[in-house]
Amino acid sequence: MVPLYTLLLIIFLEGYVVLSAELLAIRLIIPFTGSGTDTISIIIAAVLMPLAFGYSAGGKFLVERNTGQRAHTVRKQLLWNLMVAAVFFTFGLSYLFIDWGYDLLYWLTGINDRIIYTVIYATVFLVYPVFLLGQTVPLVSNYFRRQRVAQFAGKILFFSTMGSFVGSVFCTLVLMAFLGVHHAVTITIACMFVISLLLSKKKTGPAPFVIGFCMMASFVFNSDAAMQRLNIVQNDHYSVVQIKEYEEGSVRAMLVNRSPASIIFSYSNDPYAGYLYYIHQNFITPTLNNDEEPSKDILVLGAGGFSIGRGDEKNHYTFVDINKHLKDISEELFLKEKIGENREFVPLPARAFLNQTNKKYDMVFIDLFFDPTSTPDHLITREFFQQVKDHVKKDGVMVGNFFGSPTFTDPLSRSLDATLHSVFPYLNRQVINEYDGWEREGRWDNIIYTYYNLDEKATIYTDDKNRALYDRPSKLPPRIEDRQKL
Amino acid sequence: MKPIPLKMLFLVIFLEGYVVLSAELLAIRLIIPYTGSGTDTISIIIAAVLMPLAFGYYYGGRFKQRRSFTIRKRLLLNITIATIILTLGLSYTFLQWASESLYLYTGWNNRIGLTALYALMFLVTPVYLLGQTVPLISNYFGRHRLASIAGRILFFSTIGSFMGSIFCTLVLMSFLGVHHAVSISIACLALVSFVLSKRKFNLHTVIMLLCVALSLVMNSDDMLKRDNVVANNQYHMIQISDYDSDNSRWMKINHNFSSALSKDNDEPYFKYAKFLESHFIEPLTWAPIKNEILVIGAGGFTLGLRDKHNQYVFLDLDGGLLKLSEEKFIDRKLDDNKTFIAEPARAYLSNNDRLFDMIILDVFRGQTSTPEHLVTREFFQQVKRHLKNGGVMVGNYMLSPNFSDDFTINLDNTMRSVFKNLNRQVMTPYNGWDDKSPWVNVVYSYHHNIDAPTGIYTDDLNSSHFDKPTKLRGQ
Repeated sequence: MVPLYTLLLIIFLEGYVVLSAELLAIRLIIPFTGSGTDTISIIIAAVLMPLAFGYSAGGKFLVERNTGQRAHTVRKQLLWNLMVAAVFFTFGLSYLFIDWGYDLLYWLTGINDRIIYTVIYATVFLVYPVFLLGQTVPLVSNYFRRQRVAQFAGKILFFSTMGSFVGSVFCTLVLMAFLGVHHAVTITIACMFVISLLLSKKKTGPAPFVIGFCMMASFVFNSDAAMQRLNIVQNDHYSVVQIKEYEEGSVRAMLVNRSPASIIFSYSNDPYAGYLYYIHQNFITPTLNNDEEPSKDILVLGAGGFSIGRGDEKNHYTFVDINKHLKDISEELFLKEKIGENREFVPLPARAFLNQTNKKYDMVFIDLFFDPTSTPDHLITREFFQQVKDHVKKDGVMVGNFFGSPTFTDPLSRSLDATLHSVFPYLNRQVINEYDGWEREGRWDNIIYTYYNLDEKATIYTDDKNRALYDRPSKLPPRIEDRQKL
Repeated sequence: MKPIPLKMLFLVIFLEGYVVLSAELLAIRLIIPYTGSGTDTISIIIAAVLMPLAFGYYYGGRFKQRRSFTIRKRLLLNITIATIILTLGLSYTFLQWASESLYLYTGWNNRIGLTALYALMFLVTPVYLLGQTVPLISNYFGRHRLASIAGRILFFSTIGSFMGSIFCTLVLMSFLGVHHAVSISIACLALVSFVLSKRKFNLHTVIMLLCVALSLVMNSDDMLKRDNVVANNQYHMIQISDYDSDNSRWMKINHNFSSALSKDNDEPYFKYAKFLESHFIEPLTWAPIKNEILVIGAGGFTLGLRDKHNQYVFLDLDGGLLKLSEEKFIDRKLDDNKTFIAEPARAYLSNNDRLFDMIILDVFRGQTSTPEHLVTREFFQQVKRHLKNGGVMVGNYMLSPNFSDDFTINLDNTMRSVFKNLNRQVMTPYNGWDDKSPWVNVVYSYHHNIDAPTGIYTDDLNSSHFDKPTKLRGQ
């Protein structure tokens, strides 16, 4: 007979494993398929549905196997379930394996759709193990047969939910934050190993052996050395950060969740990315070239590698990013220098920061979008842009770097444009790179929106009422003798 | 008072009417290259004609002749002074020199101020003096019935004005050019002076002949060629210059750079034209079907010059542009896939149901030369109605890159009231903080998708995850 506290510990650990596996799966799949509500909801669905069926199957198991050897059968079933689930999780929750599987799947099938990819991942690596783990509570409940149903149900649900609570809170806020996602995975597999030890009569039986092996494999797959081989320097609850060097070390890139967040020349402060070059050329360099131009307060939402305004010691920068480790990583491994005293870092979510400060800035630079799949849904809403606008000084500028279709091919590009215009009436929409004006395949590119916080007094010219003649500047244009300017 | 034959009196009245109206139209046409074609500058010129004309009539009626200063002398003096001033004021060569000098010494470059200064210096006085002609001449009709003679005087004066507006613009400016039309107006004044003179060889006649000669010289083809002017008609003054340093050829229309190309390979020179070519025209050159492209504002026919595949319709007011461009700018006949229609843009769009894959708006050549009827909501609606589904509107404008003036803001607002989802691409680097930054080329582009959604994302209602593309690679 398994002691009561052991049974409750098993239920607690199962709750922990299921919830932590769900959150780890979401966190691991985001770098590959983006952080959209759709992908997250697929993962949640792939946990809840098999969990429900697992509960049902676990309950039926007792009815079908109502023989004298049921306790042994239940234990064997539990260990079998645990063993199979551990094998699946060892692979499914390994960044190394997902990275390899992602490339292999594309190479073999050409599948290139984030929804399909998420569904495949969830179906292969989550549905079955969660279904098996879901059977744990009803199977374990066989050991409580002498207890009152109400009391037994209350205890089981309490410990299961406590396990889930710790799995969500402790795993994300403590383990992912302080040890990293990869080590949090190993701890989850280790929890399964503990369950197997608690359930096994023979501690050297096949189940503890296999799960122990899985734990060792997970430890290796998720070791710092394995991460370093993928240039991963950080893998916490927010993002996977990789630093890579190209062109014999002359170009250094910071990738956040596999998307380039910042690229710099290692030997020069000149911006590398086209959109940053545009911003430097039109907004930062003019302040540096003119001594009479007062220094500007610049708010950067999305710190990336802190590369904007690199070398600028005149203007004051406030970088806001959800990932509090970004500054240290950037200084140590990316920029390889201190970011400067005129550059302040606030580790907060963008909207939280905007909510808690009334300070207005000469320029607010929105740099939160690295690729089409990683557009945070809450940072493209009218209310967010209104918050941004409220923090732009009179005559100040909002500059937003977005990923969108240069030719408005897709609904997101069109609706994002409409959303921006609902808040910012006068906008430049500058496509940074070359594009085909007739492209209809949905190729995305860096788009820079710029807005000037001017008095909103716009009217429209009609055939009936046209005051264009009053609006045109009366000064004649400078005489252009330099043909290069044209 | 020695009588002047009745026919001659009416001829004088006719010619005076002709000269005043032609001088007004010539002044408008001559000042446009410097100060633009806005309603404001045109209204200043009209005001500078009508007001002194009224005062001239009034003063002429009150004139009382003395023995030493007869009506004839008054008339001759008026005409001589008016001729001297108009000879200078209506001469392109003189205006070119005067505007350069004014800018060089004072740095003054306000188009309203310049127009007012020009009107004050070169129009007000001569028109005031010429305005006295009719009442002064009416002294010679002493024995006639007032009603009868007033009717005839007004008839001939108005016929003269009618000819001054119609014949001068539609015939002289079109076929001889603005510069020769000026000389003809000066010659008309010389003829008036000759008719009025008792002795045909006097100081007035000599001065008038000198003025005619000076006008002929200053407005001669040779003089204009020295400034690379190749055409000067009722619509435009066109200059073409070659630059050996980069083997390029440049066309200026009304003093604004309008077109430029490399003489080596016909490649356009302007950044906006290169942008249009590389993003919108070159991708169509290997398209399986022939796309239909409407270019409003032909310029030097440089857009799509190397494209022999797609069908182009070039639209411009100036019917002489094609011949001029073929002979002096692109140095060859326009390819068969290109048609030129000499018609105002709005007239063409109103009278035509043809739909286009692309409409290029290229009628804005400078800060001062934005046609006001081509910046209205109704014009942009016309353009939109002529786009096929999936078609593209591309507009090149000279505007503030950072919305630093009302015109830029309101034009943007007007365009967005018609075209949803617009790219606004600034062609050259600019100072993002300078609220007085000079105007630069700004290219608006619009993709016509009839079924495009118009929703916005809010915290409450956010369907962005459905809108995001699902493709992972190849972005």
